[in-house]
This record gives sequence, structure tokens and C-alpha cells, in this order.
Amino acid sequence: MNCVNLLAFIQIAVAFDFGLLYFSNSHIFKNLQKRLLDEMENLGAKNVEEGKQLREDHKRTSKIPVRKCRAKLADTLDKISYHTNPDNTNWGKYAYLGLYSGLYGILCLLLIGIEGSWIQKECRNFLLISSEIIIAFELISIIQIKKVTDGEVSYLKVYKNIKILLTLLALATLSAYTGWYFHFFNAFNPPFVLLATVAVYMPVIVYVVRLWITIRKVRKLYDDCNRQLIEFKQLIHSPAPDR
Amino acid sequence: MNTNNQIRQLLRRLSSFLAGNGKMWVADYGEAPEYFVAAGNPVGIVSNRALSVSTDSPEAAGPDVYNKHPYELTVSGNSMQPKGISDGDRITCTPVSTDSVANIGQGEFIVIKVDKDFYAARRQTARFAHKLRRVVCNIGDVADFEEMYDTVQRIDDSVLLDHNKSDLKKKFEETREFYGDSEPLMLSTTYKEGSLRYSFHPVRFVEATATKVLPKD
Repeated sequence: MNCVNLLAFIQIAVAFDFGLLYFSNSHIFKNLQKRLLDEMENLGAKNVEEGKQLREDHKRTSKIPVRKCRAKLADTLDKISYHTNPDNTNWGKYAYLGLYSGLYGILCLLLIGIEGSWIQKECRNFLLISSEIIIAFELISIIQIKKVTDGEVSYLKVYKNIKILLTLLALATLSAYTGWYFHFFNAFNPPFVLLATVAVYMPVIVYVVRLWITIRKVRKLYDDCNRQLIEFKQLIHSPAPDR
Repeated sequence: MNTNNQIRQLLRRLSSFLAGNGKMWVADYGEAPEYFVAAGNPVGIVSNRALSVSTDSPEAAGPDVYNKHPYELTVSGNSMQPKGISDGDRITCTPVSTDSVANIGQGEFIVIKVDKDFYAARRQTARFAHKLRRVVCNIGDVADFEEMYDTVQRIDDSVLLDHNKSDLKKKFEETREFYGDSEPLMLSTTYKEGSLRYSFHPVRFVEATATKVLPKD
């Protein structure tokens, strides 16, 4: 149970700090996000400007291949504009996951004092079962957050989720006490450290993964933009047929 | 909203949740006030911004649609961001009559009344009274897709792309199925995560043109 002390302390610090991400506009994660997006925007700014100019210059063309090229370029430029705008990539909404991480941290803190007592075994089992429940809730929340693509997030059914979560934790308590559970490992520490780390650091993991996904997405869009610009220039400089 | 105000608001909500009837927490299922307009799909979850203004405020009276005076709406959502309108921006709307809708040009922004029956027929609940779109053209009472497509593709490049043509056909057929073949329709666009989306609306639901954008505070 010694690792519970350390993990619970780290978890409270992480959840608290990550919760500030949601409230504070000067949080380090938000500054990092903004700086990253600014740099990504600058990376492809020249091509984007060139694309916009080309589109404007050939606004009145009647050649279908050129018009199709204009349309593809418009599509790419709109997506680049969307994905590099800090208002649209408000990953702060993933701070909601800190709610479940925080709850797990509180459970760990409360159970620290049970070490060495006659219910130590039940507490350990409860910590393992509840970590799995918390991870499941975090994954469900990630799916719910992903579905909300437009603007801010409103509560994410937090009230209903908390009631269900508390019910499941009560069942977990019963399960730990009565022995109705399935064992994968005989030892406690290895699975607990793994599960508790995932439960505690899920907001940070998700934040980093979202960052990585956005970088990949924007890079692909810049590649598409580059390719479409080359195609566009070839079309306008060649005697292409109208259809 | 600064950190202190946000914390105070959170504590107020927490105490309301614990001591009150918990009504505030079912805001997910609430409807946006009249003075908000959905930039994208009006069935989306209503944002915190749309729910944070007091119902005692003068804005809560709703837009002055019936008196034909210009009025302001606040945009909810970032679906129109590729065209320069972001979540929280305020738009000045000039009411239009059904007769003058034909004069609305390509590229203008319009405010459309949300037809809740249309969404109910698709088992969705619309949470906004208005939605914001960008005009492509007025297609009138054309019932045949190919005829409509032929008209649109002369003035708009985006429909030349295969995936856009499929989306256009799907939306056209859905709209005609619900409203019938003789209803005059307006074709407009919005975006979803930066990707273009088409929508058709009966001309009679076009309420206003959005003529000015004030950035959010």
C-alpha cells in the first residue's frame, strides 16, 4: 500500500492542476497548445496564402478541371483554417476526465489508513476493481467529448454519470467484501500501479494523444494543399480542355 | 470569464446541486435562449455560453423578428469559423420578407427558423430556434435532382466534387421527402470540423440576413 500514498498524492496534484486548465487562460497547457497551433499555422502559411490567391485569380474560370481543383483547394484550406484555430481545438474540455481521476485519488487517500488492518485485503481488491470502473468511465467520457465537436461542452451529463458511478462503486465495495471477482494476478502492486497510473494520468494521456493527432492531421492537410497547388499550376499552364 | 468568476460559478452550481433540486444539471437537455443561433447542427448540446445568461436580462425577450427591425443574435458553435464567424460572435440581423428572399445573393449569411417537426421526424430534438447558414442559391420548386444540380454547378464549384455531390443529393432527397415537391427551397452551406455541409430549407423559414459581425467580448 505504500505506493498508494505516492500515487494518491501525485493524482491529486495532477487532477487539481489539470482542473485549472479548464479555468485558467494562462495555464501552461493552454499556452503550449496556442504556441503549437501558431507554429503549425506559420509552417504552411505561405502555401495557404498562395492557395487563396490562386483561387481568387481564377474565380471566373469556366474550365471544369480548374474549377474542380479550386473546389478541392477550398476544401483543404477550410479544414486547415479550422484545425489551426485555437478556439476549435479546445482540448481543455478533456479536463472533465479529471473529475473521475480526482474521485479515484480521494478513494486512495481515504484507504491509505487501512493498511495493516483486518480489512486490508478487501481494500486492496476494492482499489483494483474501482480503478477498472474509473478507467471505463473515462473512456466513455472521451467518446462523449469527441461527439461534441461544436463549441463548448455543457456538463457532459455529469450528474447522471456520477450517480451511475457511485452505484457501481457501491457494487464494487460489495464485490470486494464478498469475494465476487475474477483474479488475473496474485500480487497486488503490479496491477495496481498500472491501473492506478492509467486512471490518474488519463487526462494527460488523452491531451497528449489529441495533440499528436492534430499535428498529424494538419501536416497531412498541408501536404494535400501542396499537392493541390502543384496540380492547379499545371492545369492553368497547360492547354487543358474545358471538360 | 476570469478564473475567480468561474470558481464562484462552479461553487454556486455545486451548492445548487447539493441543496437545490438539481435542475441546473439537466442543462444538457435544455434549449438555447431565443437570442442564440446555431452555427452548425441545431440538435447539438447547448453550450455553456448559451446557458450562462440570466433570463432576467433584456436579451431574453428574444429577437424582434415580428417588428421587422434589425436585431442581434449570438452565435453558438464554431461551424461557421471557416467563413470568419466563431462561437460567441454577435451578428446583426435584418429581417426579410418571403418575397425578398429571392434577392439574397450567393455568399450572404442568413438566419433560418428551425423547423422542429423536421428534426422530430428524424428522431432528433432541435435545441435552437434559429440557425445560421451561408447562401448558395435559391433553387425554387425544382423537384428533380439532376435539374437542380445542373443549376447549382454553374455557380458553385464545390458541388463538382464527388463526395459533395453525394451529400447534396442525400440532403435534397431528405428535404423533398419531408416538404414535398412544390415547396420552394434555398440551398445553403455550413461546416462540420472544417468540412463543407449542404442544407436545404424552405424559403418561408428564412428570417433574416446577417449583415454584420461583432467579435465576442
